[in-house]
Amino acid sequence: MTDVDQQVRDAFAKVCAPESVKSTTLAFIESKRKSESSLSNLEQEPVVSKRGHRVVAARRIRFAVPIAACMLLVVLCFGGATAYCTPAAYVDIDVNPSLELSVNCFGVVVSARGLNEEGCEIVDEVDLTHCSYTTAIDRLAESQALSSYVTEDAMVDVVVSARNSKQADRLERESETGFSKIPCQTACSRADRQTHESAHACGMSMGRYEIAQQLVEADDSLSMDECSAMSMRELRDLAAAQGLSYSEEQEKAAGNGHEAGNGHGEGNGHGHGARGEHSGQK
Amino acid sequence: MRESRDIEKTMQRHADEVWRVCVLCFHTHADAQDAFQDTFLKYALADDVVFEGDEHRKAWLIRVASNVCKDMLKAAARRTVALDNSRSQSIPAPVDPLTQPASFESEVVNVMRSLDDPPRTPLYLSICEGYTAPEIATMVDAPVNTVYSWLARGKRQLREALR
Repeated sequence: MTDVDQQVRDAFAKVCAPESVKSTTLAFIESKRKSESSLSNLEQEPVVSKRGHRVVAARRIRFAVPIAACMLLVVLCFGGATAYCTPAAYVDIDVNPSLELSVNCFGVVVSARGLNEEGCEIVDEVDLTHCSYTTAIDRLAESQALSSYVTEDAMVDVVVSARNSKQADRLERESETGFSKIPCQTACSRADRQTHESAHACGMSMGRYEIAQQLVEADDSLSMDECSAMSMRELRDLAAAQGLSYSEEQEKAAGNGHEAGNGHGEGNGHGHGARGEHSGQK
Repeated sequence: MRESRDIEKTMQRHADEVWRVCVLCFHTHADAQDAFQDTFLKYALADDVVFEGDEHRKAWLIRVASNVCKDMLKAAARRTVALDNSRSQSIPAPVDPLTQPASFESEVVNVMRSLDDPPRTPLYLSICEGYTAPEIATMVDAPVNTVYSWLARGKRQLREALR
């Protein structure tokens, strides 16, 4: 949270509903209740038809059950459709093409969007949606569109933000496996929801945002806009040159390979960053 | 209509959040109070709405408060009475702390009020209530990417105003 955010929070934390407002409101609502109750007494007079018989409500009951069943079906279909369309996790992939895949609880990519111009071009060229996450990553790794960016000295930064830690584990593993086909270094890690929101408010991927924040804090001459234009390799090299703790953690992680024994052992340095420790979701 | 106990309990838990939304939109205590009252009246009358939990109830109240404030502002703009917006802004808030506490008129609160809406309400929901952009998108009925843009723009404007 920035200083400005904190200032706003502090200012509004002091704004509390006065007791007089609350008590006046409650009294107002009770007066409405009384006037409604006297109106409803008048409305309850029995309605008498021209033939002198009371209007029966039985007709309404006859149709109530099938109508309720139809509504339940609609709700179930809607619920299923909603679950399909709702992202349960976000995966930000950044080389300098920067893009985000939204994954639902079934592991299907429901949307893909570019976070910068190059990312948008890739998303336009490669079909990444309405397929499993594994398929989407395979397509991306094998695509012509990405190949020109993933040279041997490049770096692919993958950051997962998910409410469910099992899903986050799975997405990280699938990312590492999928990107093992490309020649450059890959780093996978996690971030929490707050980081996801802050990063996107700045128009950046989560990985880029985290490094950029640290760089900008350490170096006044650097701006977030300048960081948004650099490649991930450039950002990490800059972080290493600044001696930032983030980069040291990454170097250690790169040397250790995967905790789960998924490392490739080919010196490609796939690792989990310090952000992996921030896996607690809100 | 909901039971009195239900309304009182809800007011105990969420009066401050609703009040803050009203304060965000109005310069005068009286207008904020009207909006607060209307919001809780709508809550009292919406006895057919079943909430999944307290967070759902809170989000519903905030959304309704925001809509009530917008409707009141639109109605005020449409009125042909001579009291236009510029005039209402120039009326100084009363200094009586019972009717216009200092917190109602703090510099930061005034800066937030001075922002256009959007991004004012989405920014408030993000910073003060901790809602994510997808949650805000549902509350204000807008696409998620639009909310991201609003938040980025709002934070930029806020930073410049508070410099």
